[in-house]
Amino acid sequence: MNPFTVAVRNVRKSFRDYGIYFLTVMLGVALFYIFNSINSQNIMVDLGRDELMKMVGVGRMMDTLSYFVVTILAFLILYANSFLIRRRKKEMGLYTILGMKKRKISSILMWETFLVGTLSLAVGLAIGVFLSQGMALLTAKIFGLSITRFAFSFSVDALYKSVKYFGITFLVVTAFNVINLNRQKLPELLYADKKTTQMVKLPLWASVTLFILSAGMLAAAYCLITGAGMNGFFEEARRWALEASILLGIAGTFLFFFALSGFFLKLISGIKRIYWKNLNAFTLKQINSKIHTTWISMSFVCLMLFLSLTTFSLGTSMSIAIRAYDVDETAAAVGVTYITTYIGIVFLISCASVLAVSQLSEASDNQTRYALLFKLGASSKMLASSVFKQNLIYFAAPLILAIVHAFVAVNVLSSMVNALATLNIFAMCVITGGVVVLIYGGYFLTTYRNARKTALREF
Amino acid sequence: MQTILKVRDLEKVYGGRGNVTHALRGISFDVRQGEYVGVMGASGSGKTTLLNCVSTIDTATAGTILIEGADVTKLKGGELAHFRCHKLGFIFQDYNLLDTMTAFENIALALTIAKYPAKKTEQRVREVAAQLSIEDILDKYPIQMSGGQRQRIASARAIVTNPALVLADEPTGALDSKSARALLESFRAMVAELQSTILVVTHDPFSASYCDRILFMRDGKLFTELVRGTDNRKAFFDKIIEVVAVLGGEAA
Ligand SMILES: Nc1ncnc2c1ncn2[C@@H]1O[C@H](COP(=O)(O)OP(=O)(O)OP(=O)(O)O)[C@@H](O)[C@H]1O
Ligand SMILES: [Mg+2]
Repeated sequence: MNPFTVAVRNVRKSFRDYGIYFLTVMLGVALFYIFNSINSQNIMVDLGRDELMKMVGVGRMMDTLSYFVVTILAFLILYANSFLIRRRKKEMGLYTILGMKKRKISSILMWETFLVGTLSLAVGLAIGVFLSQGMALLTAKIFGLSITRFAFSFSVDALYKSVKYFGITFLVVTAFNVINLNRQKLPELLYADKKTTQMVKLPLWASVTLFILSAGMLAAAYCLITGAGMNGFFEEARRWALEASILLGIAGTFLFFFALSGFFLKLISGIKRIYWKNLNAFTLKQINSKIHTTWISMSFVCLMLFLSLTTFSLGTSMSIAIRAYDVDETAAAVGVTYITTYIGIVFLISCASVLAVSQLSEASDNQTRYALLFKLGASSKMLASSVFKQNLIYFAAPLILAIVHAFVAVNVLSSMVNALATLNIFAMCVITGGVVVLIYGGYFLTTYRNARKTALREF
Repeated sequence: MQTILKVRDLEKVYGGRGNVTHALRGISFDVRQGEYVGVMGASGSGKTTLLNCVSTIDTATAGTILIEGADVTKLKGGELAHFRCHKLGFIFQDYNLLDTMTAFENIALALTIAKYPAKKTEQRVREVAAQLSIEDILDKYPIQMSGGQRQRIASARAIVTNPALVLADEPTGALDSKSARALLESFRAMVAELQSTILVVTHDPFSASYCDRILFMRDGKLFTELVRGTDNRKAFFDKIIEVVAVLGGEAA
C-alpha cells in the first residue's frame, strides 16, 4: 500500500491521540502569528510618526523574543510528539513483523508528521489572523485610543516567519521520529507499553510533617515579601528579605508537592464515610501514585504558572500606569502589554501541555485497571467520574498554589504601580482569569475526554 | 436446594459473513445453590465463551440464562453493571488485583462498587478475610504476595458481596500444586460454610476432582456430565481421567 494512503488513514483513525499535539501546535502558531504581526495592525494607523518609530522598536524586540518563544514551542511539540510515538510503537512493531521495510515505515511516519503539521499550521494561522484583528481593537480600548479606519490586516511577514520556524520544527520532529524508529529493536517496539513502576513509600507521619513544614515555609516567604514590600527591590538593606522570600517560596513549592500525595491520602483515608464510597479509594490511590511520581514536574509547572499569572496580570496594569505617567509613552505602554501577554501565554501553554502529556502517557496503563473495574460491575458513569476527578486534581493542584503565589506577588508589586496610578485590579483579574480558563481549561477538557475515551475503550 | 443458574439452548456465534465460528451450539444445564460445578473440555470447545456469556461480559446469540430467575440476556447497560456487582463474583486466571491498592483495599473495592454502606465496609472485609484465613496479608500490596496469596485475595473479593454465583476461569492455572491445593480447599470451604455457588472452568483433572459435578464440553455442546455423589476424591479423579481419555485426551 502507498505510504501516503496509510498515513492519511492513520491520522484519521488516531485523531484523538493527536489531540494534544494538534492543540499545542495550533495555539503556538496562532500566538506566534499574532505577536509577529503587530507592526501591521490597525492600531498603528492612529499613532503618530514618532510613536510609530517606537513601535517598530517593539517589533524588533518581538523578533528577538520570537527566537526564545519558538524554541520553547519546539520543545513542547517534540515532547508531545514523543508521547505520541510511545503510544504508537506497538503499531510500528506490527508493521515490521508483517514484513514492511523500515524505509517504508519511515515514510509513513514522515507523511503523518507532514499531514498533522500542515493541518495544525493552517488552522493555527487562520485563528491567528482572526484573533489579531480583535487584539488590535482590545489594545485600542485599553489605552483609550480611537481607531478611525478599521481595515482587515494581514501580515505577510508574520505568515512567512510562522511557516519558516514551524516548518523547521516539523523537520526536527520528523528526523527525531525516524532516528528513534531506526534505533529501536523489534521486541522493544512490541512491548513498549508494558512497563511497571514501583512506588517508594514515605511513612505517613513523615509526609504529614513535611507538608506542614512546606506550608510554614510558604507562609514565611509570603510574610517576608509582604513585609519588605517594594523596597526589597530598591534598598540594599532589604534585599536579603526579597532573596530569602524567593528561595523559601521555591523550596516550599517543591516540598509541598513532594509531601502532598501522602498528606492528602492520610487526610481522606481517615474519613471512612468518604474513602469507602464508590470508587473514591481507587481514585485517591491513583492520584496519590501520580503525584508521587511526578512531583518534580508539578512543582516546575506551578512555578511557571505563577510567573505566567504574574507577568500577565501586571503587564497590562503596569503599561496603563506608564501611560498615565506620561501620555507620550503610549507606544512603550502598548509594547509592554504585548510582550508580557506574549510571554504569559507561552508559559501557560507550556504548563498545560506538559500536564496533559504526562497524564495521557499513562492512559494505556490505566486501561487494564478500568477494564477490571468494569468487569467487577462499575458502571461507565462511575469510571468516567473517577477519570474526571483524577484529571481535575492533577490540573487544579498546581494552578491553585500558583494563584495563591501570584496573589501575594501581585499585591506587593502593584503597590509600586499604585504609587504611579490607580489600578483597575478587578478588570485585570477578569482578563487574566478568562485567558487561563480558555487555554488551561481547554487543555484540561481535551485531556479528560481523551483519557475517558481510553478508559472506556473496551466497552 | 433452589436453582441458582438455569441455562437453556445457549448459542454463541462469533464473526459474520463467511467467517463464522459457532462457539456454543445449544447448551442447557442447571446449577443449584451451594453446588461447586466444574466445566472441562478441549481447547476451543467453548468453555471461556460459556463463562463470559453467563458473566454478562459477552452477549449470547440465542437462548436464555436465568440467574436467580432473572434473564440476564435481556439486561442492558446500567442494569448489567448493577447485576454484575450484586449477583456475581469473579476470579480470573491472572488474579487481576489492582497494583496500587493493598489486599484489604482490593477486597473492599468490590463492596464500594456495589454501594455497600461505608460504615460497615471494614468490618465486612475482616469477616471474609477470617473465613479464608488471609488476615495476615491484608496490608500487603499484590507485588509483595505469592501467586497463591493473590488468588485467595481475589477469591475473597469475589465472595465479599455475597453473590448468588461465583465464576472462575482457570483459577489455578498460574499456581504451583501446593498453592493450588490451598485455593481449592478455600473453594470447598466457601461452598460448605458460606453456601456459595461456584462455576469453574478448568483444564486440570486434579482441580476438577474437588468439584461436586463436572460438565464436559465438546465443540460447543455438552458432551457428558459426571457427578461425584458419595465417591471420595481419588475415585472421582479416576473417573474424570477416564472421561478425559474418551474425549480424546485433549481436555487435559
Ligand atoms: N472474540 C472471538 N471472536 C471470534 N471467535 C472467537 C472469539 N472468542 C472465541 N472464539 C472462538 O470460539 C471458540 C471457543 O473459544 P473459547 O475461548 O470459548 O474456548 P475455550 O474452551 O475456552 O478454550 P481454551 O481451553 O483454549 O481456553 C474457538 O473456536 C475460538 O476460536
Ligand atoms: Mg478459555
